[in-house]
Amino acid sequence: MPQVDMQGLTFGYRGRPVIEGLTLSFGTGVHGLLGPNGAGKTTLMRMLATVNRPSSGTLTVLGDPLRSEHGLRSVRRRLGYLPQTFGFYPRFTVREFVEYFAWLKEVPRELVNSDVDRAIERVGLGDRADDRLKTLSGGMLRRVGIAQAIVNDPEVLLLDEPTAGLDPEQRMDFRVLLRDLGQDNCVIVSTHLIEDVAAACTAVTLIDRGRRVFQGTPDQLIAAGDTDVGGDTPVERGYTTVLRAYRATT
Amino acid sequence: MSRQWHVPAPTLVAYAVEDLSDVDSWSVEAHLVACADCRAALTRASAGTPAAATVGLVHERMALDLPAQRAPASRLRQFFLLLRGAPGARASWLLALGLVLVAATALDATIATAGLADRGTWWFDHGSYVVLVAPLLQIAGVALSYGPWIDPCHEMTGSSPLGGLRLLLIRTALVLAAVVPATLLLGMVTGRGTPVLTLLPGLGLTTLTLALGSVVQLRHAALAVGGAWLAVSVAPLLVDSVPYLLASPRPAVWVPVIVLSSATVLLRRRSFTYAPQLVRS
Repeated sequence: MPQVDMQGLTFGYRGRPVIEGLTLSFGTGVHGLLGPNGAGKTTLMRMLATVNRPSSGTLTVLGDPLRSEHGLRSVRRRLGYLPQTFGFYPRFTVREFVEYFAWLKEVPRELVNSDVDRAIERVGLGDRADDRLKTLSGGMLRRVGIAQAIVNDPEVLLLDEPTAGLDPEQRMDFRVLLRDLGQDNCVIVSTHLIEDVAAACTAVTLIDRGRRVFQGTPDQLIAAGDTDVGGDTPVERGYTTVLRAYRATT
Repeated sequence: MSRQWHVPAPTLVAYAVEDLSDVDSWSVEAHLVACADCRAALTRASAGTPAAATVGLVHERMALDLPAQRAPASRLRQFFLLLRGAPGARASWLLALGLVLVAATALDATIATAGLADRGTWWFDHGSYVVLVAPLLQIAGVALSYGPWIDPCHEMTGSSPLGGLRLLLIRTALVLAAVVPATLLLGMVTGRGTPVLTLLPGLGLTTLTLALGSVVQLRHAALAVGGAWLAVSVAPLLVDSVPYLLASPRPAVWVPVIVLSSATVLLRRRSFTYAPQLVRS
């Protein structure tokens, strides 16, 4: 049973569909979610994070169809989510902020301190734990966002553009963390940085205008690439080829 | 860490030279993990035995790998973090709350020296600005405490297990805990407005705001309820008649409002579970 399963999932804003009848599933591993701007990546992530309710279709997370309040709450305890627009409280320290989310996620009291320390350690902010968020750089804030997402050891981890603002070295560290987290959990990473996907993901899903275009391994995406399309790397060529072929048929 | 019981020295020696049954060894190990005294005793007991090198290595590893032991998080800290996370608890809101209350109290205290033209009117004899604004402060606090338009972390808080109605109620309780004692105290200082006169409308309008907030956005609910309160309270004053809701506590009005609104909130609690749909960013 995959951790996340969608059957005919649809979502619209004011009558305009953004996600149209998406049928997809995500199991253990690191899944890259790719697509051009406006493809519906963030909307999909928000639905998976249970921020927004689907307009129609079924969404099953960790075996629960999210119909009852009780089921939803227990699923939320096992979710981690870093939104694309990551808001924060500037006067909180790193530790306070991560701890705040440990409480909101109902981490047992006796585990809160050790889990908070571990999450901060894992994103490499151990030496900044007592600094206020307003003193941190954009890349560091992004890492604080990742720390709050993983503080409850989530079985489903949703990261929307997690590498935005990270420098190349931090992105490499982040890929190591992703691979580590993806060993036992379902990690879904929405990104426009195609290279991140090639380097750290075990599977790739490409969506366009709210529909599925491609799902497979990074190697399969690379293999699909024509040599005569634009793009600097094999993955970029694969991405462009698949997307163009899809658009030509619709 | 002080403990009442320690591993007896002969047992430690037997453990060090691997002369102990498996089950006993596990018990000793479980205790050693938690007891620094016994770990130190083990080092002494194993000195000169073949186990000394292993014990030394284990100590080294522990010092390197284990972070300093931290006590479990306290409930008090949890309370303060949840409090500070509530947008309504920000310094600016508390400051505004204080200023409005002080201003209302000052107006109440000086009402007797108001223009002579007012003398003899109902407001001159019985009116209280504190009674008038206290419920508004409460519903403003509620509207400012939860939702994507006010909480920069709403996507994360709203999708947490504590998110939704539970967090909204926690934050509403914090707002009431700040406003209610202050207004009661000020009412007593100026002598205008009995405690019941302040409490009932405050509670009634707060629950009504929450109930309406299950249908429309909470901030719009607060504006509608606050506007209605002002209209019903102030309009009679303008035509020099006695305002029905300000003149006495009116439990016949407020108790049904509180009961029905609370029931509505409970029945419609799912409407707070998901984030309201804002215009797509």
